[in-house]
Amino acid sequence: MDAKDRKMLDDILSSHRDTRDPAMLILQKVQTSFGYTGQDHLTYISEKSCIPLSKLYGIVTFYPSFRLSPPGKSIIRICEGTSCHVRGGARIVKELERQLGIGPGQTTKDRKFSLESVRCLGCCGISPVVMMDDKTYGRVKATKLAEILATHGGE
Amino acid sequence: MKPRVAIFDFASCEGCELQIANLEEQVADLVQAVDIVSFREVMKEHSGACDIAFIEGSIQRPMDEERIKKIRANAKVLVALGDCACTGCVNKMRNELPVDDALRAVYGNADVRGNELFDLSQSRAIDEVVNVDFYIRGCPVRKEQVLYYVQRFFGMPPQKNLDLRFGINARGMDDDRRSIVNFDPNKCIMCRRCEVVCNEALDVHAIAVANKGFASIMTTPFDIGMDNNKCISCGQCLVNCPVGAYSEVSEVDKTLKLLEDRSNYVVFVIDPIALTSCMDSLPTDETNFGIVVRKLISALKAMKAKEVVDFTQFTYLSIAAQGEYIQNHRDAAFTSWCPSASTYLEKFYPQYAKFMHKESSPENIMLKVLRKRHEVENLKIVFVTPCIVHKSNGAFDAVLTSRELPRLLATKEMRLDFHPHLGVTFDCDLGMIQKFVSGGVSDYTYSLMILKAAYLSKFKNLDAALTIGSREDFIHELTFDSELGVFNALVIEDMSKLRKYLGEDIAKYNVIEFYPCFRGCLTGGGQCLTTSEDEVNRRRARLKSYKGEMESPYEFVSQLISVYDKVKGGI
Repeated sequence: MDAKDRKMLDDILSSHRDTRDPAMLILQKVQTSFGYTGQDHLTYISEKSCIPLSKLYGIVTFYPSFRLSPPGKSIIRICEGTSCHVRGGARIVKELERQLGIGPGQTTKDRKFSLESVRCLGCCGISPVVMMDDKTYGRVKATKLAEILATHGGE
Repeated sequence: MKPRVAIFDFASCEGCELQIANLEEQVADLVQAVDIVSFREVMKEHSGACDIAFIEGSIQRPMDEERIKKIRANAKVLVALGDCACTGCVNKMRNELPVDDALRAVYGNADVRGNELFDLSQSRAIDEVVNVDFYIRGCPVRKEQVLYYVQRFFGMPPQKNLDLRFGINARGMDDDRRSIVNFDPNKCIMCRRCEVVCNEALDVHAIAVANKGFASIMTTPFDIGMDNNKCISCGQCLVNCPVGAYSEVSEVDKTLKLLEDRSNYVVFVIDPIALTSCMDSLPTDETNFGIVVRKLISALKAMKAKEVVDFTQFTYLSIAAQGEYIQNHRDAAFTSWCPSASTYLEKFYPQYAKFMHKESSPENIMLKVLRKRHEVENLKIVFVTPCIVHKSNGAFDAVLTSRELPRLLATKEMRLDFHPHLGVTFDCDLGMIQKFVSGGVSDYTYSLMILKAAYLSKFKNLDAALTIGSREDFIHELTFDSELGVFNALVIEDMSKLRKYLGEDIAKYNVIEFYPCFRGCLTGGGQCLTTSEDEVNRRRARLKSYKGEMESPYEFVSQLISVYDKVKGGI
């Protein structure tokens, strides 16, 4: 963390100086400002605000809206809802995990892709569905995945 | 013939049975090892006799009672499955209500009187009606856990669940701070008792609960490990874990190796408090605490220990050393004997760490005295203590807790009954142990402070007045008025209030003491389970039966001073 990051965290902390139970609000602001809530951030907040690190860690691992590491360049959302599951969604997840070498909730080493599993993307008619950033792919087949990844900067 | 297993349910949500049904693929492995003769949730056929009966749910009606008694009579082993069966859990909350109110709340005005299906009495756990052999707790039980215990039971190699991320990583920071705590997530039932003790009762916040639902796990923030975190090694997570998921890193093997090497001069230092809890597990039928201690001394000698030394005398010498220190330094001094307390100061209040006088701690005095007495190269010191925190002290060659001592004796199949006790005493008698063996912090801590104050007054032959006040529950304030000036002492027995008092001006106190364990070393982090109030009282009574009442602390202090002077002069 550099001085700029520390300044940002200090600002967030001072804006909640008089809030009762500010942990959740502080963490949400950190998530929006930095895109993730990392170990450095939480340790710094804990030291400055006297909120125990174990409590902050419990919160960020409980709620799905927090990330523990910076997100990749592209975010892959894969549906694990009923309809997609019935039409082979699980196979797509496995194939993506194999090609990228990461599981849901993780980011590739080169920071190109983050894999996230979601419950429903609202287009069950074209299941199984994969969403790359804001582009939706329907009736995805495991054999087509490499092609889709390539259009978004994958090898 | 394969063992016959039956699964029965009483008043419950059937969630625990569902967990077994959910084992799916692994059930196939189990079925090869056992015959499931009754399992209502997945099969129709039932038969009576079985070797092992798993019981889910609690007992509500006379007909349930009849049924469970029949099952008990037919089963060789009975296992209570889940919290309803183990404790009564949610079902038992109904006992607060009159039966009629409970029936009306659920069935409205329907007339259910005289129907035996609705004949409710008090809700009871299984062991309130029949004998239970084993308990598997949890609401619901975790399927991995059921599998783990069942595999252990049938002698199959237990299969570690790889989906469970390894929880608490307890590696130490360097060689000096050896890792001391193990955590097995396969045993953890997520009762969160360790978290509550660590975070609320002790205000230490070393343990976190990560994730949610079935993926939740006890861990340290970012998996950084206990020592790198705020852990003070007090061991309260160990003595409060109901299923033994936490355990100390055992040093039994290490001790055996020390004893095997004949060139070693092995000295056992025993804190008698450690023996009060493990007396029930020691291999003897003797019930007199004093005789057990003496028989243990003989047994350890038979295991080739060269000397067995009592730890108490060093705690008394520490009082003398601290008394001297307090007179020369009028700043606030932290005089807790507990190493966890000094770790707490280092981690939470580094600015106060300089007020901790480690030189005067009983362990340091003990090491100095023993090294001086035995100027041999191969002096090996094994410390038997009620607390795991000493394991992080590299100065000892091995540290055994109350739980490990019986294991050490078991490895050599020692029976204490065959060893003599008449005329057996501790070695290295400095001239005061025969009267007052008591160990570390055995009772309410402020009784210790009285002794310390008595020491202060006697040291200079002063007339002094001691007043004992109480600021609130478990916070004691002692004032000691003498020609030397006024000494103020603060004793904190409740760690959750510590921050409040350390935050204010501590300069007005000369002495501050605090201990993480609620009844001092009687509930220390290395004691045997459990640490209920009754059990603690029993331990206290044992100690008392051995040491007897101290008639006059002042008389004792004059004896102590002469010994202390001798020790300082070099023994």
